[in-house]
Amino acid sequence: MELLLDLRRVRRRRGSADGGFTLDIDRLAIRPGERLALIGDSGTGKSTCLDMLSLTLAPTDWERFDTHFDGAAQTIGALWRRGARSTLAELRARYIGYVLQTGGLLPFLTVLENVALPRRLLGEAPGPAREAAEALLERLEMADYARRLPASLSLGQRQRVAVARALIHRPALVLADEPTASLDRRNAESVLRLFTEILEEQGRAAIWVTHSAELAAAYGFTPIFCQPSPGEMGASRSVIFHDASAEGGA
Amino acid sequence: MPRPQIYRLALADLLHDRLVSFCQVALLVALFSPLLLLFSLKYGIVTTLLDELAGNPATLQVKPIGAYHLGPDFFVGLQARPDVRFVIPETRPIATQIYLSREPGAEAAPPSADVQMIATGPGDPMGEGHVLADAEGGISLSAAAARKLGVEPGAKLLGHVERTRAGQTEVASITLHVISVLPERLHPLISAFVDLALLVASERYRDDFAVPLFKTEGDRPWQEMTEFASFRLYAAELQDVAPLAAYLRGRGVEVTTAADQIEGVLALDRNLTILFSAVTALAGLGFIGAIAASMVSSVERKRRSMAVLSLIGLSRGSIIAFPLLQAAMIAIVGIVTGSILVLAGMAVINAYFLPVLHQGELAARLKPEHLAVAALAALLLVGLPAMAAAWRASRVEPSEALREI
Repeated sequence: MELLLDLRRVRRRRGSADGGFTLDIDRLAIRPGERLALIGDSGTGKSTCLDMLSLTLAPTDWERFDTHFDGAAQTIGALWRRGARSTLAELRARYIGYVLQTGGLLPFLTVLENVALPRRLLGEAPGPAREAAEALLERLEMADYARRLPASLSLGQRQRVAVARALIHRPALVLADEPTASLDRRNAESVLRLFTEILEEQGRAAIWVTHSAELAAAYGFTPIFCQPSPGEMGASRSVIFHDASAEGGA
Repeated sequence: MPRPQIYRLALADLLHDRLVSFCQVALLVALFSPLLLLFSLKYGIVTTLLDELAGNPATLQVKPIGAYHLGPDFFVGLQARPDVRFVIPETRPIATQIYLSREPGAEAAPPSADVQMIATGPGDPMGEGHVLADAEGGISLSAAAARKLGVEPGAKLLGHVERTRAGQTEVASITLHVISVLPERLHPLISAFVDLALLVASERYRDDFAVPLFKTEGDRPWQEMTEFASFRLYAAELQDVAPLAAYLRGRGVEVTTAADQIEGVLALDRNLTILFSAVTALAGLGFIGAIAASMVSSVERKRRSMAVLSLIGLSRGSIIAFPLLQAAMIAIVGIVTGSILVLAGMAVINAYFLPVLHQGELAARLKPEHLAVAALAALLLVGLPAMAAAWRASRVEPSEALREI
């Protein structure tokens, strides 16, 4: 089976060599539909990792940085080298969904329009896009709020809308950046439950950035760690390693 | 070309942020309408004054004072000048009298009048495009002369010129017909516009020459005139009057003109233009500053939204297009609203001034190209600050959406 993400020796360096920070993704191999939780303390490079996986931050060096969305192979490293930003933007639009920490909803669109937007950006007609958005909002118990603007919703409601927007176009990979960090426990649980249920139904791969390995395990996410390790000449460094092809692929 | 979706999103954001959008439109209208209205008033007033002057050939006339000996060279030289619209020689004033009467018909004593002849020719501004006289006895009468004679165009007339020769009064007669009657406003006196040959014949007749045109004998044989005492001269344009007068004075011919009147209007136009330019420059600068501040701060406020749009797959081009499209929408609404206000304002001004204006005159007036230039200038004034906003937008990174701000 082909890997969805296939990264080997991908490095991102920030700042000068001494006193700077380096994130080394020694190996990250993810199968389609696999669910991972990226766990690490603050400042260990989780965000840097997420930036690179969301195709918004160029790696400094890499041996391999490939994706296999829709059965076709994309060599992300080569796209960055060519500066093909619009191709990367198209890949983001089609194959990646995002759940941000605090919604990241567009304040000038209604809940329904926010959720339908990824499909509209992919060229779908307004009618079907709205129907799909309505169905998904129904699933997230947010149908009554479809005509409201995000500003009138509670934080928990906004996160449900954010989940709907991330999943509406059935992306191959869903990236969630501590989506429940600002919610109370009850809200957090219901958002996570719905999120994982829909992921399961759609069979999509997801990477959930969180502080808590226990919480991740409780929702069926395999933990991988952003490990601080000694850097060159006193610089900070973190290492990520996860190889699905070696573990269960054979 | 940005995705069609970006138009919808840009509009949705403008409508959501309607207070700021309204202020930006109001800012543009507050610049556009008063300035354009001021311009329409300047243009309307100056045009009306100039039209009034230009519509009256007398304004273009350069009148000689006194009698001269002006030969063919003088007239050929004048005719060759591009600032000359029309010139024709004039004889001595004493020789311009003609006695006109209607052909004797049923009436015993048909009306008659002593009329002053004025030479005319093709292109005479007094004809306003029509020929006033011809060599076959066709003449035109001033309104006063026509009234006195009780004739209309097409009427036949008899002309009589007198001379005293060896103590005897002699009269030469010629058959004439009326081609047209000049309106009162062009010439208020009792006059006839005639072919130059008729004037020359009268002067020669009085000087005792034989005159073939009148079929009369004389003490001296017929001789064409080569020198004239005076002339009737019109400049091509209002601004040509002063240089033409200077040229004639340089050749020893003293003249009077309506130059003061013309110079007054042209100076008014110049001063109003300077005033208008100064006001426009100051207002434009203030506008750019205000709208730039508003647009750039809008982009800063919407940074997160733009980052999110970028993250979920809008290209950088579309993100840059976002503030540009919004600026274009603001500009279009502002220009349309402003133009409607200007047209309404012009209608009010023109209605107010209607009682003091002549038929067809307007106090406030705009040509379509004025409106087009104003709209283009407004687009430019909105476009420049929008570029600054777009530059800010181009610096938004999609990864900013992933951060807490």
